[in-house]
Amino acid sequence: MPNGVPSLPEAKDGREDMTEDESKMAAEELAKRLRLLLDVSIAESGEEPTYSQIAAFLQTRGVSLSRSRWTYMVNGHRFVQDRALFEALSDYFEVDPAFLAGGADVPMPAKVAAQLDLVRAMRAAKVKSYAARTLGDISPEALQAITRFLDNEANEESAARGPRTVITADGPGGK
Amino acid sequence: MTDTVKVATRAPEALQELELGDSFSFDELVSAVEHRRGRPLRIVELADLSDRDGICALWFGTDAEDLVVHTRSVSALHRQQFVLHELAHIILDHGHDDDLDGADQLLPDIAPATRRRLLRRQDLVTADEIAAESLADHLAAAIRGSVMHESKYLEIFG
Repeated sequence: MPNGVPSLPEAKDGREDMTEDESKMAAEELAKRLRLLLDVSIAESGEEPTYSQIAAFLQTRGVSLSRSRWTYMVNGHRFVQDRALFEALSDYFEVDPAFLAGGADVPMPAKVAAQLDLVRAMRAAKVKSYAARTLGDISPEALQAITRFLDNEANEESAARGPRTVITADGPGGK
Repeated sequence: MTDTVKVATRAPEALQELELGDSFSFDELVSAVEHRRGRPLRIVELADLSDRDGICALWFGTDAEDLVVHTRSVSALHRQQFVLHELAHIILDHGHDDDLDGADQLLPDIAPATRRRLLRRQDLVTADEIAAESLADHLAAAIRGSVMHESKYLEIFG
């Protein structure tokens, strides 16, 4: 943890200094990142981690996570602001803590949000390798244009695969 | 890979492996790449992008195909170099170096380890960019020496 960063209240959700729209957007961004991590886990192990597995891991780090809180986090229903929870979840998913916590203290910069959305689209389009010829920073608008293109490609590819699975507290279909 | 001698020599070697000779058309180049990779290669201009957006072209290698996406540009020569650069990445089979610390021009704000985990893809190192640009120059020179009429090259770059 960086020096000088104050701990946040353990279970405080939402932010008083955020407008309703900002809070909703932050909740959706967090959900997007969590779903991406769940997607990665499914790709790696063939199964989506259940709430019980995640909660048990977090408990070993001294972090409690209720089933309802996990459900609304992963579905983007409410913005969660909990540094300890983000750090423990980052450990569980083996990613850099900033991947989840980045949006907790400050709104995620548009370019970072656009990059994450592009990662999601690249996964959906089954991109295995890539390279880019750039001229300095790529604008968020350009990243979004590429994301739209890949989404269209993936949609055409998967038109016959049926609707997306709904994520519940215990994985697809609420098993 | 940081061996500059290796970078300098890979472009001519890669060109030789395509068995296209000293001069060839753009169509012949695309066909040779498809044949070598055993999968289709699509080249798409993205109307939403211009070279003012900070990006010239991208290559996405998916499960089924190679996809080169390039921006609109008023200069046909620029477009040519954008696309040939990406074809060079494909020919050189980049994207397999196990380098966690490599810079990523497309996703610079996602930590390398996280990016690698999310995409299961190794990061392209600067040396790869140099090698691709070098091979793109060789390809451009060979194409300039060929007859280009009635080819996909004119559809894309004309």
